Amino acid sequence: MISKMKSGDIILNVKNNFNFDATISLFGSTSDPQAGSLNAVQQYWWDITYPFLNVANVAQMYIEVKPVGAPTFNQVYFPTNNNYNGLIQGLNSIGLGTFWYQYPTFIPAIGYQIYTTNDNLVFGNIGW
Amino acid sequence: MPTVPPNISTLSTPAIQVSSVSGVSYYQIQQSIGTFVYLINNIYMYSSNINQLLQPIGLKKYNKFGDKHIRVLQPMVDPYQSSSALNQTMLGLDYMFDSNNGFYPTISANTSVNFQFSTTEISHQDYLSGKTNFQDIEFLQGYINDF
Repeated sequence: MISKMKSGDIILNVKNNFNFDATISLFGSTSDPQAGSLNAVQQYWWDITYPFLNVANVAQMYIEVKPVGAPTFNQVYFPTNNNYNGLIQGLNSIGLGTFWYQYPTFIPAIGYQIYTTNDNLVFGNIGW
Repeated sequence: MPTVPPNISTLSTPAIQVSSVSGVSYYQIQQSIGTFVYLINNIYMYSSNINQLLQPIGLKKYNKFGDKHIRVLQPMVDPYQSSSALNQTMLGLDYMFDSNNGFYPTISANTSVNFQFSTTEISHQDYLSGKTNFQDIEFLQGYINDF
């Protein structure tokens, strides 16, 4: 028996303060790992131009991560499929928040840059 | 092993800012998802940047067999209309916020957008019958077997 259905509106304002387009995850509940990047002020970015232009085969990379206040970093490995888009997809598949690139293609003056924000996790090096 | 160190900075405002326009905060809405399920009937989007209204929206949902379906909504506006708002009906898509499904909008650079979701809210307790288990026990305790 369904007798208590209620109708209503949910109104959200979403603002992207990055200078590039960003795809985000909304309404995934508090357990959504990608939700940690929303409303966060701690920003991390990496310039990974070198490994992608100078290393022939980087099929797998790792990122160092720890909860805020934890003493040591853990290394979490992710697949890259040997390309930049694959690397972003790999990072977004490991449940550590949302990662964005500034441009999907290589721009010599900028290179390959990866961004994320998170107030619950601390990120370290990206290695391969 | 070669590594790339992170560049870390603390921003004055969040890079991606999500806030509720109504009295209930986004965090409270997020917490209620799972206990409550919100069937989405309609999405009204407003942005001063017309390009924002053309950005795709990814909808991920699981059917009752656990199969994942991803649908990309590609909103369209008349470029000569100079419209800053768009109404996207969701009827027929059977899409809801239930903590498993995903809603992935793309937000343009340095842009703000308002989403107004017309929802039908339902909770699992709404499926219970009129009598609780305790009422059933009380009824059976007082039942006199007279044959």
